[in-house]
Amino acid sequence: MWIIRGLKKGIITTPFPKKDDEYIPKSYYPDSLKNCTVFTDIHNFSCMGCGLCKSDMVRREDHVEVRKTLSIKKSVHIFVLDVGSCGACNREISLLGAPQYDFHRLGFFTTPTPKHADVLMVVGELTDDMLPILRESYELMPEPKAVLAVGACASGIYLKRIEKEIPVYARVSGCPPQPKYILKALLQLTGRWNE
Amino acid sequence: MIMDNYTGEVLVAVFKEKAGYSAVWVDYDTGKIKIDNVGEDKLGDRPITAAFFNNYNIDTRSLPPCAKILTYGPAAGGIGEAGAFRLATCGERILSLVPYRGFKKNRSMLKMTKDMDVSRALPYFSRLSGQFAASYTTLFINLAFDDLDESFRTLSFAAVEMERIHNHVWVMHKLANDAAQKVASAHLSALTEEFLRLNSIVFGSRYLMDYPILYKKYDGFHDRLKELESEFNGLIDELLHSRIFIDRLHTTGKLNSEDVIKNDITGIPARAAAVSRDSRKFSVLKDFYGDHEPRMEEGGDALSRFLVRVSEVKDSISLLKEITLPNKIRVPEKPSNGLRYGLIEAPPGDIFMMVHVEDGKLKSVKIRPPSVVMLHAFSIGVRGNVFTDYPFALDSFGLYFADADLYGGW
Ligand code: SF4
Ligand code: SF4
Repeated sequence: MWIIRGLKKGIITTPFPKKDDEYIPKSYYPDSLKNCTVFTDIHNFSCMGCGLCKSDMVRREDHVEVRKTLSIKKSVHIFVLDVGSCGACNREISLLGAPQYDFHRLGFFTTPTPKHADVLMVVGELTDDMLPILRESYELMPEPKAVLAVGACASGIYLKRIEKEIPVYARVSGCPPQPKYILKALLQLTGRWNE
Repeated sequence: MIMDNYTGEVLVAVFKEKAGYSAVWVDYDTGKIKIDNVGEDKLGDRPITAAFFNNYNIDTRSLPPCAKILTYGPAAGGIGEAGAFRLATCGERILSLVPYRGFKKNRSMLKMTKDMDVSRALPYFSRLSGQFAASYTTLFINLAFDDLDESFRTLSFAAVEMERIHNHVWVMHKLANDAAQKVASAHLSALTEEFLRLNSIVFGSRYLMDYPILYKKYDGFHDRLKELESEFNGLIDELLHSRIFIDRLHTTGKLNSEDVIKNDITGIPARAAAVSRDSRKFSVLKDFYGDHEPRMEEGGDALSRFLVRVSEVKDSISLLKEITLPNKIRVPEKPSNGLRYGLIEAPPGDIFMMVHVEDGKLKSVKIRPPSVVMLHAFSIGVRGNVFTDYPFALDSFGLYFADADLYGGW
C-alpha cells in the first residue's frame, strides 16, 4: 500500500540544484539593514529576519559564503554539532533527508561520529559547556575536513566565538536557514555547485 | 479508567527568589493558579522538584552489582541536540536514567531581554525554542501587552495550532523512523515540510517566529489545509495497520496514572495515561477552545502518546478550518503594567510564564518550559525498558533541551 501511495504522489523531490525551485517559499529579510534595532553591527549573516526594524520585508535567498572549498570526490559525510541552538536549525538540517530535498541523491550523508566526518556542521550559539566538545569534535575528524556554520547564530551573531576555536570554511544565513540553502552551501563547499 | 474528574493541585514550577522560593500550583480542573512563597523544606518530597532544581542523581545504593553507569550525550547521535542523559544499565536493561541538562543553559536569548523595552523583546521570545516559537511568542505578548484585539488573537490561535500540527507530525515521523518504517517515515517528514511551507506562506516563518510582524493574509490557506488533512489521514490509517510499528510502541516508555499524579506530570504524557491535564481550557487562548475536551488514552505508553497526538492533529485541523484569518493585524503596542502570569498549551505540554513589566520595560521573566516536565516523565517511563526501546521512549515525548535548559529566568 505504501508503494501505491508513493506512486500516486509522483516525484516530489525538488529539481534544485539542476533548476531553481520557485515552489519553495523563500525567507523574509529586510530590504535594508540600516534600521536594525537588534544589533549594532548587523550584517547579512546575523540578520534574523525578525522584521522589528520595520523595513520592508522581502522574500529572498539565504546568503551563502564559501571562503575555502573542500576537494573531495567520494560521498560526503557530515557530523552535525549543536553548540547551543534553539532547535529550529537542527530540524532544517534533518529535513535535508525529507523526500523534497533528499540530499543523499547528491552524495551527502550524516554520520553519528566526527571520526567519519568530512564536514562539521555547527549550529547555535556556542555555550561554555559545548566549547570543549566543539574542539574535540573538530580534532577527531580526519583530514581533509571543513566546517560549515549554519544559521544566524553560528554564521553571524556568534561566528567570532566559533572561529576562535576552529576554522570556518563556509556559512549560510537565516534564522533558521532553509534546507534548500543549506544544500546550496554544502554543494558550494564541496565544489559540486554548477552555476 | 479516565480520570477526568481528578482534582488536585499540580506543582508546575518552583523558582528561586531572593529569599526562599516561589512555588506555582495549578488546579487543572478549575484553572486556578496559586503562587506560594515557601522554603525548600515546604515542598515535601515531590519528585518533580529534581527537575526544577536540576539536581538529578542516580541512586547507586539501589542498583544491583551488574549495574554500569554511563553518560550519553551531549554530541551523541540520536539525541539530535546538545543534551545528555546519565544511565544505569545492567546488560541491555535501563535500570535508571536521569536528564543531564545544562549544555545550553548559557544561551543568551532570555538573558538579553533584561530591562529591555517590551516592544523590542518579541524576537527573543520567538527564539527561546524554535519548535515552540508560536507558543512562547503568544504567551509573552498576552502577558506583556494590554491592547490585543480580536484579529491578533485569532492569528495567535491559528499560529499555536499550526505549531501543534507540525510538531506532532514530526514526532510521528521520528517514531516511524525508530521503528524502521522508512517509507512511512519519509512520507511524514515530507508532510512536515509541507506544513512548514504553509507556515512560511501564511505566517512569514516556517517555525512561526515573529509571526505577529511577518503575517500576510493568504487566501489559499483553507484549501491547502484540507489537502494536507487528507494526506495526514491517509498516512495515519496506513501506519496504524502496521503491526511492527504498533508493537514497538506498545508498552514502551510507560507511565501509569499514579506515576503521572505522583510526579506532577502534565501535557501529552498525562493525557495518554488518562489524567485530564490540559491548559487549553484556561490558557491565555481559552476563548477559542470553547468546550474543548482533552483527547485522552489509557495505556500511558509511547503508543498512547502517539494516539493522543493523532487525535490532536485532527482537532487542530478542524479548529483551523472554522476560523477566518484576518486580512491584517495590528501588532500590540501598549505594555502591560505589573506582574502577570499564565499558561499556554504548547505541543508537548504547557508553558508557564511570569512577566513583570514596569514603565514599558521588562523587570523580570520566569519560565517553566514543557520540556522540563517531559524530560522528567521520560526518565520515569524509560526505567526497566531495554536499550533498543530508548529512542521510541525518548521521541514519544517530543521534548527539546533547547527550552528545558532555559528553565528559570532572571
Ligand atoms: S530583520 Fe531583525 S535582525 Fe534583521 S535588520 Fe531588521 S531588526 Fe535587525
Ligand atoms: S540561527 Fe535562529 S533558528 Fe538557528 S539556532 Fe539560532 S535562533 Fe535558532
